[in-house]
Amino acid sequence: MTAMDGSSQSQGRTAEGNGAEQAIAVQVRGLVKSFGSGETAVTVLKGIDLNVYFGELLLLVGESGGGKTTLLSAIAGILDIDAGDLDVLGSSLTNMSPGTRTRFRGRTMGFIYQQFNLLPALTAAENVAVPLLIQGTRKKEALSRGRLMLERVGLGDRTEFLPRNLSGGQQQRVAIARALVNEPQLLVCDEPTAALDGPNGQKIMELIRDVGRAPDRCVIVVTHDSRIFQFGDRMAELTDGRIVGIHPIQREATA
Amino acid sequence: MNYIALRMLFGDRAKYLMLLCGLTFAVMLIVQQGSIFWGLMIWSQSSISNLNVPIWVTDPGIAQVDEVKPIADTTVDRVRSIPGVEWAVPLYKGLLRARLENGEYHQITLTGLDAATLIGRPAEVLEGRFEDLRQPDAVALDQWAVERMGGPTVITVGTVFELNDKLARVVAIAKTQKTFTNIPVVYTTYERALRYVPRERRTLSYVLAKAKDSAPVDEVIQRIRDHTGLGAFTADAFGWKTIGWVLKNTGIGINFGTTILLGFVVGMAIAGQTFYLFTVENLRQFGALKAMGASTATLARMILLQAFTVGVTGYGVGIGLATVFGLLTAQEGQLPFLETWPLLLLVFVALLMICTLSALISIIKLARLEPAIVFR
Repeated sequence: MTAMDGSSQSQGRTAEGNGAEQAIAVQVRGLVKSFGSGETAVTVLKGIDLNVYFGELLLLVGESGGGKTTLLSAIAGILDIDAGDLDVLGSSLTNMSPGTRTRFRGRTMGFIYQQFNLLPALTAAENVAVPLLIQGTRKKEALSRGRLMLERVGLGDRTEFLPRNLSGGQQQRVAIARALVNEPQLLVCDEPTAALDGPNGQKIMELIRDVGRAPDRCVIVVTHDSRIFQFGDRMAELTDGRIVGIHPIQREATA
Repeated sequence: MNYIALRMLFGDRAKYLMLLCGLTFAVMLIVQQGSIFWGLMIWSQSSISNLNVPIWVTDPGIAQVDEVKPIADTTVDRVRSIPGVEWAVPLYKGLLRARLENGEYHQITLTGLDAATLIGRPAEVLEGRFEDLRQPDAVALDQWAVERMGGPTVITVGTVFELNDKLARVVAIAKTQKTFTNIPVVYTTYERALRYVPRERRTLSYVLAKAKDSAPVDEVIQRIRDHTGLGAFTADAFGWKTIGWVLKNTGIGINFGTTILLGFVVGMAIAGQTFYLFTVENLRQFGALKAMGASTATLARMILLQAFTVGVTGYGVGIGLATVFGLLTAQEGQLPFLETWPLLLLVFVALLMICTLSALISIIKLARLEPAIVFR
């Protein structure tokens, strides 16, 4: 695929990709978002069209201030948009009430943040259990599932540690476990490696790729870090509020 | 989510303790000042409650119990003749100076009781026999008189002193509640009290009465007023009248009211500000919860739970500290301190207001919070 104007992607629920039919997880059409008002208004997203497919890991890259995080926030339904249509996992976010959108988010999405955003007073297992508790799962069951998820991300021996007693990489692993614990279909990650050194960043991306990607799930990652580009399937490049190109990522052949 | 809310609250110990201190201080200040204020008010009508009689007949223009306005000596018989009155006895109450054997003078309140019945006598006698008041020159003192006039080495049962150059011999020491002015009280019989004081045209201070069991007290009081043209009150009503006079004429109400209000305002300011800061500093965490699907109502419940948890804890600690203060400083009635359940209830309501307002400020902030803050 080349510059993204929507013409190369299907407008329906499925599209051809790599010879196989792929279901669309996220469909963005004509998305516009401004901040401020009057003369001081700044338009950050200027008519974005984008499809994200189930089973893929899409990287959103581009210069600072290009609108990557704003686009991610809009897709995640945590930021109101000014114009356009947002279809996420078969539901129109544009027409959802704030309350419905909040519940939808809790049910279908997982979040991984640059600064982890773990609750410092809760243990690793409790932090992972938070999305389940929000959904009304009983505490005992939520904690049990939280511990299991921590084992999946390699922190089975750190379940009762407070975040301050974990390294940056371990904290991000906890955040990943928390993002995946309610089996979300859409995983949104904002600069997940920005607070980590190179090797730790690589490990975290491997983990996101391994546990995050599944046929019924898609992952969107905003990043500046060119060292992790290899983990994506496609890369959408944003500049000045527009998508200037979408490229499939060529992986180096291994021996 | 209650579990998470409480873990967030207790997890940040420094902020939690600061919040707790603010609320504890507010509660302690309000309860301590309120209890002292109420203790003072109770003292101001001790002259009524110490006598423990149901009806007081007074001058129609009476303002308070210590401002005696004598009434006609015939009033006792007139009151006795009113239907519904079971009994009526005279009471003398006036200020006099006592001269001790060591030459010291002390101002005292002389209280003359009906000799036959001794109605109006204190309920508890610490030393001697109150009935010995019927002996020649006999007087009884309250324990505050002993304290004010030099202590038990100077004043005890058997001690003699002079009242207006006439001999007075202590036959009993009774326990009473301290009065607002803390002037020593000397009890004697009505007739002997009149012998001690300089002759005046009218000497009867009050008539103490009781309604028959079959007659409604309010009706009997109204009849006394109608038949005599005098004032007549239940002990409670006379007590409140006295408290009202003190509040209106001494500035005590304004002074204590200001302190209590300050306690409320300071408590609210500390709690409100600390709680708001607690929320603001946790804004990213609340934003993360919101992004993960927590509704504003859920976050509001969390904030309210945090506010009321710290509030109730502060209430308990504050009341405890105020009570310890009362126990340590107001032992044996030395200082006015009366913690009553209406005061505690009032403080609890005030505290709920403080917590609710503090929580509301934070909830408004959270309601406006865009969860996108977590990506900034």
